[in-house]
Amino acid sequence: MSSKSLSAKSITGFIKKNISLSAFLVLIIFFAVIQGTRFINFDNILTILNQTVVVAVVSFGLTFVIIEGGIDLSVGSVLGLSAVIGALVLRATGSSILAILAALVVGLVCGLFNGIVHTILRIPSFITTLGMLSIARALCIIVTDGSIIMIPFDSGIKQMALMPWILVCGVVVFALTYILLNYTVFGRYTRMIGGDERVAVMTGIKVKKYKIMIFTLCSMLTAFGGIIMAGRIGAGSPTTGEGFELDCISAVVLGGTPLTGGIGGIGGTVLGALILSILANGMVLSGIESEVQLLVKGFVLVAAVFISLEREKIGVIK
Amino acid sequence: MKPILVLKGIKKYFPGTKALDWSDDDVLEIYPGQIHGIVGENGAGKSTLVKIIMGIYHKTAGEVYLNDKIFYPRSALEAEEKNVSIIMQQPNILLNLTVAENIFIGRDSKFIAKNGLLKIKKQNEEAKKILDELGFTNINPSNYLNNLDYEGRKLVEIARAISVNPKILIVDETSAAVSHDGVEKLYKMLKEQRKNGVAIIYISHFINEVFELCDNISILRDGKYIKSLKVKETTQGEVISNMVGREINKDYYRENDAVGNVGEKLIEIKNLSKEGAFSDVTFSVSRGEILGIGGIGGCGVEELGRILFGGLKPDSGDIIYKGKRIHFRSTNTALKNGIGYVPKDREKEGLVVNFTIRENVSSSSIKNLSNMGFINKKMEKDVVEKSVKALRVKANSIEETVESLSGGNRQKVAIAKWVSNDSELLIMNSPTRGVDVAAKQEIYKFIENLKNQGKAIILISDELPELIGMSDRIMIMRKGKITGTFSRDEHPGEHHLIQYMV
Repeated sequence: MSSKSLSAKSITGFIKKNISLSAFLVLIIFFAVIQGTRFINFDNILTILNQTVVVAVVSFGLTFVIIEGGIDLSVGSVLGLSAVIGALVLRATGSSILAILAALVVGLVCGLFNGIVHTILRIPSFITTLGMLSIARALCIIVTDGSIIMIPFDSGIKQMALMPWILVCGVVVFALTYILLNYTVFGRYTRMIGGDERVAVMTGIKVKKYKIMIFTLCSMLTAFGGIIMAGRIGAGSPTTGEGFELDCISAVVLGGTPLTGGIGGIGGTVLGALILSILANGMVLSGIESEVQLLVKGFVLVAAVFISLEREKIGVIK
Repeated sequence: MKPILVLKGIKKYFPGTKALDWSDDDVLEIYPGQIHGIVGENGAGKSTLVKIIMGIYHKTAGEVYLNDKIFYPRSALEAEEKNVSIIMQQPNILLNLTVAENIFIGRDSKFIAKNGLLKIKKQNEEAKKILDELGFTNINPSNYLNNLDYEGRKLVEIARAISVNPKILIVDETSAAVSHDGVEKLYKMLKEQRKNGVAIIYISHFINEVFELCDNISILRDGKYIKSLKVKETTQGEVISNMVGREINKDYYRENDAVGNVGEKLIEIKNLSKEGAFSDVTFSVSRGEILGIGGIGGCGVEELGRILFGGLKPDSGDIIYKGKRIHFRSTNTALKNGIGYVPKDREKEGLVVNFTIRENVSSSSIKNLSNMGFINKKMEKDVVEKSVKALRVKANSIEETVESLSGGNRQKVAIAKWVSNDSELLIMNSPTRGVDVAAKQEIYKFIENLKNQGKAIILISDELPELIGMSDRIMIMRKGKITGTFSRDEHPGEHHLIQYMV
C-alpha cells in the first residue's frame, strides 16, 4: 500500500471516529469563509451559545435515555408544558422559585409516567413517549386556554435566561450529567442496560427501576430547559417546543450516541447541540428561509443516524 | 480415490487479524465417503475455513476445488445448489417460522401452486419425511421453532442441511449444542451419510468424539495448517499436542480424588417444582462443595439453575439460604445475597461483548466498589485486575473489549465477573462450553480453587467426564426428576451415570 493512500485512509479513519468534531470544524470553517466577520464575532458567538443551552440541557437528559437503548419523543411537549405551568405559577404567585419547582414537578410526573408505563406495562418507549407527546401538548393548550402567558421582564426566570446566567445553567447541567454518566453506578448501569439488557438482568441489575429513573431524569432536565426557554422568549406559549424532539434527537445522535444504545456520552452531545446551533445561525446569516432550514435539519438527522447506527447490533432495520 | 474437495493455501485476513494464514503449498483434501475431523483450539480458524467453503466469507487468497473445478460460491444458497451444506455452530434459524418452513427456506419455490399460494400440507409432508428418516420423530413439522427447546432447534438445522442432499456436509460444533440423545442421532445420521458416499467435514472440541467418528483428522493452530493424520495411525495424545503445540496431561480435572473438606450447608432446596420443567426436587449444597448436576436436554436443570438465581419463579417449594427461607423478587435478590450465575450462553446473557473487560467484570460488584453512588475507579481497577489475573485471562489490558478475546478468554471473563464480587454460591451452567483444551484446564483449576476457598458451586454440565472429574457429588436428572446422586468417593463411571439420564 502506498503512503499516499495510507494517509488518505487515516484521514477518513479520523473523520469516521470523530464524526461530530469533524462536522463541527467543517461547519465553522464553512460559515467563516462565506460570512467572514459576520459569523466570527463576539456577539454572534454569544448568540450561538445562547441558542445552544436549551437544546443542550434537554439533550443531556435524552442522552441517558438513548444510551439506555430507549427513546423519548415527548421532550418537545414536556418542555412546552413545563414552560406554561412555570409561567402560570409565576403569574399566580410572583415567585420564580415556585415556578421553577412547579415546572420540575411537571417533569417528574411526565418522566415517571413514561418510565412506569414503558417498564411495568412493557410498552416500547417509542410508543409510550409518542403518547406523552400528544398528552402533554394537549395539556399545554387546556391549561392555557390556548393563550400565551407572559413572563415579566424583572422576574428571576427572565434574568436566568440572559447572559451570562443562561450559560452558567448550561455548564452546570453539563458538569452534573457528565459526572453522573461517567463516575456513578447510575451511569454505569445506564450503559450496561443499553449494552445488552438481557445481560443486565442476568447480572442482577434492577433494570426496571433504573429505566424509570432514567426517563424521570430526562423529563426533569427537559422541564428545566422549558423554564429557560420560557425566560428566553419571555412567555409560556402552548406551542413552545413543538418539533423540538427533532433538534434534541439530532443533537444526541450527531454527538456520537447511536440509537442502538450502550455507547456515547455527554461531551459528544455538547458538540451535537453546537453543530445544530451553528448550522441554524449560519443559515439565518446567509438569508435562508426557515422552511429550507427545517428541510436541512431533517436531512441532518437522517444523515447522522445513517453514520452512527451500529447495524450489526440490531441486524434488521425496521 | 480422488478427493472431492481440495483446499489450497487458504488465507483470510480481517482488519487487524489473520484468521487463516496457510502457506501457499498447504493442501487439505476431503474424500467422499469419509468423515474428516478438523480440530484446533479457539482461534485456530476452523469456523472461518468452513464459512469460506460455504461462501459466507470470501477468502483473501488461496483456492478451493470441487471435483477439480474452482469452487467459489457467492453465498450459502449458491453452495447449497452445488450440494454443499452446513450445520452451523451458531443457531441459524427463524423462530417465528414453522419447522417445515425453516427446512425449506430459500428453496420453497417447489411448493408454490399455480395460483401462487404455498402448498403448506405438501411442505409439511416432505419435512416430516426428512425428519422421520433422521429419527427425529418427535418433531412436528407444523410446530413453530419458538416452541422447541434449544436441542429441538438444532435438530431442525440438521434436517435442513440433509434436505439439500449434500455431497459435502459440514458439521460445525454441533454436538456441543445437543444432549446425549441428540448426539447419538447425529452420529447415526453422519454414519449413514458416510455410507452413502457423502464427504463430511466435522468440527469438534471433543477429541474422543473425533476419534470415535472420523476417518481423518486435520489440525489447525492460530490460523495455520499444521497437518492431517489418519485416525488409525495416530493417538489422542499426538493430536492434542499438535493442537496446543505442547504435551498436556491427559488428566486435567481435579488433582484430588477424595471429596476433601466440606463445610456447613449453604443452600437447601426443598420440594421445588416448576411446571413443564421439574417437580419435587430436593437437595442441598454446602460450602466448599462442588455439586455437579447432569442430564440430557429438557431434563429441567436449565430452569433449576435459573430459579436459583431469581431469573425464573418456581411454582412451589422452598429455598433455604444460610438457614433462612429466601424469596427471590428478581435477580437482584441473588446478587445481594452473594449468588452468582455463569450462564450457558455467555454472549447473550453473560457478557456485553463491545464493552471492556473491566466493565464486564465489575458489573456485578460495582455497587460494592462505590461510595454514595460514586464509583471508586482505583478500587474497581484493582478488583478487576485481581480477578482477571486469578483466571489468567489473556489480554493486554483490562480496557480491551471482550469482542477481541477468544472464546476461552471470554468465558474466563464471564467467570471473573462473579468472582469479583466474592459470590458465596456460584451456579455455573456449562462453564467450559465451546472452550479450548488449555483454557478448560485453567477453568477447572480455578473452580477447584474456589472450592478450597469454601465457596459452594453448582456445576451444571452435559459433559460427563467433566462432572465426574470435578464434582464432590453428582446429581442426575431425567424428565424433571432427580434419578440418582453419587459421591466422588464412589468413583462413578460414565457408563454407569448415563443409565440414569436416558
